[in-house]
Amino acid sequence: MGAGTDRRSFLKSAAMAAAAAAVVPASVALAGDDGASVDDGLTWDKAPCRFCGTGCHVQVGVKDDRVVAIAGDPKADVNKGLLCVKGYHVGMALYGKDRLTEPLLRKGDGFVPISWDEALDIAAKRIMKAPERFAFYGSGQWTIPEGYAAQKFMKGGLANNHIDPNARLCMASAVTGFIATYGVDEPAGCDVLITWGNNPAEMHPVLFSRVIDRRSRGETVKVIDIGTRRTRTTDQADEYLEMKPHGDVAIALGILNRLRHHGTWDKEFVKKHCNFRALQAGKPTLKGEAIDFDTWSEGIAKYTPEVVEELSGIPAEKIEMLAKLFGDRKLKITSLWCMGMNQHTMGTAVNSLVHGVHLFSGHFGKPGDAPTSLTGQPSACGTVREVGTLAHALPGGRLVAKEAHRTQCEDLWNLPKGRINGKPGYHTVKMWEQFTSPSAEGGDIDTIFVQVTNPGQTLPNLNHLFNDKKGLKEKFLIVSEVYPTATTWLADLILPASMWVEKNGVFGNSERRTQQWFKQVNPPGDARDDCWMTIAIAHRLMELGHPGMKDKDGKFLFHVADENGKAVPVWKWEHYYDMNVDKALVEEYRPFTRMKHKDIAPYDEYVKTRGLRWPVVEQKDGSWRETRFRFSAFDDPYVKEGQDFEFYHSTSGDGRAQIGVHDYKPPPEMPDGEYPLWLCTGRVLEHWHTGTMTRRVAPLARAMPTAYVEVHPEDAQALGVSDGEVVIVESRRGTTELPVWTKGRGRPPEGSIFVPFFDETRRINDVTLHLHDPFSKQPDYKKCAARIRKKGR
Amino acid sequence: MAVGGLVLSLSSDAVSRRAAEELLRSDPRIEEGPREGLRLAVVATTDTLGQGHELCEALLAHPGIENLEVAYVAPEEERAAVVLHEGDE
Repeated sequence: MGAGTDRRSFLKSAAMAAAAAAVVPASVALAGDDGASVDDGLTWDKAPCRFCGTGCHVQVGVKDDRVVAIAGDPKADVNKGLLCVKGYHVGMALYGKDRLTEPLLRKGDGFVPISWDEALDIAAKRIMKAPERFAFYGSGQWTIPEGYAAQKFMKGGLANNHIDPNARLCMASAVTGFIATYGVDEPAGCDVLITWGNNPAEMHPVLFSRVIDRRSRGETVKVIDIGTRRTRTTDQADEYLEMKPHGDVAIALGILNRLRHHGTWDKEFVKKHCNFRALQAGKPTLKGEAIDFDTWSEGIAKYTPEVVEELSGIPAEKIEMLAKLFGDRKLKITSLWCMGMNQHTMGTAVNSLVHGVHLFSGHFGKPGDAPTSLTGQPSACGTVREVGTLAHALPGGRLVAKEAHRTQCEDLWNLPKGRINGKPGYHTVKMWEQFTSPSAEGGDIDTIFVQVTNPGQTLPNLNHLFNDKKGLKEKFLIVSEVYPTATTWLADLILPASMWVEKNGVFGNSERRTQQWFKQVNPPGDARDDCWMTIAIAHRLMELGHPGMKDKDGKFLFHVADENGKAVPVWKWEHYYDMNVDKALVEEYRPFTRMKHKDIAPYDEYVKTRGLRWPVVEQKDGSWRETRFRFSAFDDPYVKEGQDFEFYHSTSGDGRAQIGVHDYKPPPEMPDGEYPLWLCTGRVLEHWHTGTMTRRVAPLARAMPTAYVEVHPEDAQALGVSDGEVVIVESRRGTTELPVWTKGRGRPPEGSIFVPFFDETRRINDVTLHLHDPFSKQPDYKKCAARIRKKGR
Repeated sequence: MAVGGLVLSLSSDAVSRRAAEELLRSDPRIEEGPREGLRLAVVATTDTLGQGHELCEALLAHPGIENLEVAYVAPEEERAAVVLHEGDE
C-alpha cells in the first residue's frame, strides 16, 4: 500500500468516525479532554468555529504547521459533531494567497512595507498627538482578552471612551432589548418555533438542524416563519406569515392585545415576576417609567387584529392563531430572531415587545420555551456585551456615566481615582461621522484604529460614513487585518494580523458559553496577534511619556508577571508567548464578571471543556458548574431560595422583568414614486459577513461567486429586466450594480428586493440608510426605498 | 482528493427513502456507515472539494434525503484562493 493510499484510508476512517459520532453520539473522541492528541501524523486539538455566534466546536487537524483537516467536535454540546458548510471550510480561510504578512504604510496611492518597530512608532505618535481625538473600532470577533485589553487601554489608559464595536451594527438592539426587559436564553426542545424576520436555515444552520432533525426522528415541531421574503427557512415552515417591513412591531402588539382580550395571559407568572413600563413623554430613556397594568392595557388596546392587519399585512385570523398558541401553557414556544429585529429603527422596542409576549404568556425560562436572540459573530456576547467594549460601558455591566461604577473599575485596575472619563464616547455611526467630517467642520476624530472588522463594507450609507475619508489629509486610519479589504483600501497604516488558531483565544457565544482554544499553527510572515498590538502600542505610548499607561503604583498598564512574580516583557513580540497572556487577562477580568452574577470560571477550567455557560460557580467538591437556564431556580444558583424565577439585576431593582408598551411608528423611509421598491439586505449560507475569509475559500467562492439582487418575476417583467442582467440598484444615497436573480433561493414579494452584502465588489451599503434606533444606535439595514434602473438608461 | 464525513437525514416516506438508499449504494463515491433510525453516516470521496460540493447539492435535491450535515472534511487539495480586486466580476 503506498503513502497516498495510507493517507486516504486514514482520512476516510477519520471522516467515518466523525460522521458516526454525530449519528451515534459518544462513539468516538478525536482529542482528549486535556488538550491536543497526536494520531497518524496529524495533531488534533479543539477550537470554536470563528464564524457565527452559535459557537460550534471543531476539531482542528494540523500537520507541518498547517491546518489540514477539520471535523465537527462530537464532545461539543452546541453542535454534537456537526458543522455547516462554512464551518468545515474554516481552516481553509487561513490560506488565501493574499494574506497580509508585513506592516504597510500608505505612500501616495500605494503602500510600502515597513518594520513593526516603525509601525508601532507611527501609531503611538499619532495617538500621543491628540489622545482625545483617537477612536478604537472593533467587533464581536475580538476574543475576550483582545477586547478586554482594548477596553482597558482606552478607558483605563487614555481616559477616552471612543471605543465601539461593529456589534453596534448587529446586536445592539438585542442587548438593549434584554436590558429594557430583564436588566436574558434555548431552542432545541420546543413544540413551536417562531422565526421573526430570521433565516436560521442559512445563517445558523447547525442550530436550525437541531430543531428540524427532530422531525426526522418522528417528533412534531411546528415552524412558523414571519418574514418579508421567502427563504430556505420558509421551505421548512408549516406556516409562512409574510409581513410588511416593520410589521413585527405591530404583530407583537397584536399578540399582547389578544392575550389580554381573551384573558389567556399567565396571571400567576406576571403577578410574581413582571412589572409594566412605558416610555416617558418628551425625552424617553431606555429604562422608561413604571406604569400599572390598566395603563399598560390601555396602551395595547388599539392594536386589535384588524389594526395589526393593516399595519403588518398579516391577516387578523393569523394574529389570533399566534395569540392562541401563546395562550396555551402546555406548549413550549421558542422565538428566534437575529438581524431582522435588531437592524431596525424600532429595534429596542420590538425586542422588548417580543420578550414581553413571552413574559406575558409565561413562555419563559424553560427548556424550549423562551425568546432567543441569535448573534452573527463568535464573541458578540462574550466580548462586546460582557467585556463592555461599547462607548458607554465598562466591564461587568458597569457604565462610564456612573461614578460608583468608574470607581469600582479604577480600583480593580489599580488606577488613580478620576482616571476614567465619565462622558460616554461616540457610538459607531457618530464615530465614523466625526472621522469622515473635515476637522475644520467639527470632525473631532482624527485617528481610528480598526481591529477584526471591515467597516469599509459594513457601515451603512458608506458614501457618508466611510468613503468621505478619501482626500482628508488630517485623518489617519490604522487597520489590523488578515487580508486586503474594502477598509484597507482607505487605510494609512495596515498591520498584518494572526487569525483564529494562529493565536490563543477565548470567545463567548450566543448562549453565554465561554470557549477557549490554544494557538495551533504559526501565522504567515510577520503577522501578529491583535492583543499584542494593543499592548505594544500601549507600551510605546508609555515610553513616549503618556501618564495613563501606568497604574497608580507606576507599573505598566499591562504588567504581566510569571509564577515567580517577575515581569515578562510581553510588549516585545519575541516574548509574547513566554507566558499565556490570554490567561493573565482572563484572570484579571474575572472579578468584573461576578458583579452581575455572570461569573466565569478560572481559565484552566475552559481548557478542559468545550465551553461553560455563565454563571459558572464553584461547587463544594472544588468542581465548577455551568448554568443552563438563567433566572430559573432549578438551575441558576443565584436565584433566591423559595423563588421559582428571579430576574436579579432587573432595571427596576426588584427582581422583576419589564413588560413594555411601544407604539408602532412607520419606518423613516418608505417607497414612493421616485424610489418604489423596499430594499432589504442580509447574508447567504456560503459567506460569512463581508466575505473577506469565505470568498477566499475556493469551493465557497465558486458556490456563491457574486452578490445579486433578488427581484420578484412580476417586477422584473415590469422593469424589462431578465435573469443575469446587470442592473443599477440605487437610492437617494448611492448606487451599485448587480445581476438580477428572479428564481433565487430567496423569493421577495412584489415591490421588494433583497441584496446580500458579502461582495466587496458590489457594495450594497453604498445604497443603505444610516438612520438608527434611538437607544441601541443600531442602523436599519433591512428597509429603505430604492429603485432598479437598466444600465445605459 | 477530498474526503467528507456526512450525516444524512432520510425521508420518513418509505418510497422516496428506498430510492435514496439505492442511489447511495450505487454511487462508488459513497461509503455507508452506522445508521440510527433515519440518520445515516456516510463518507464521500471525490477528486476535488468542488465535486464534493456538487455531490452534496445533488444528495440534498433528492426527495428521499431531507437534510445533510457535514461532520468532517479533509481538503487535500484546492487550497487555492481567490484574490479579489475592485471591479472583479
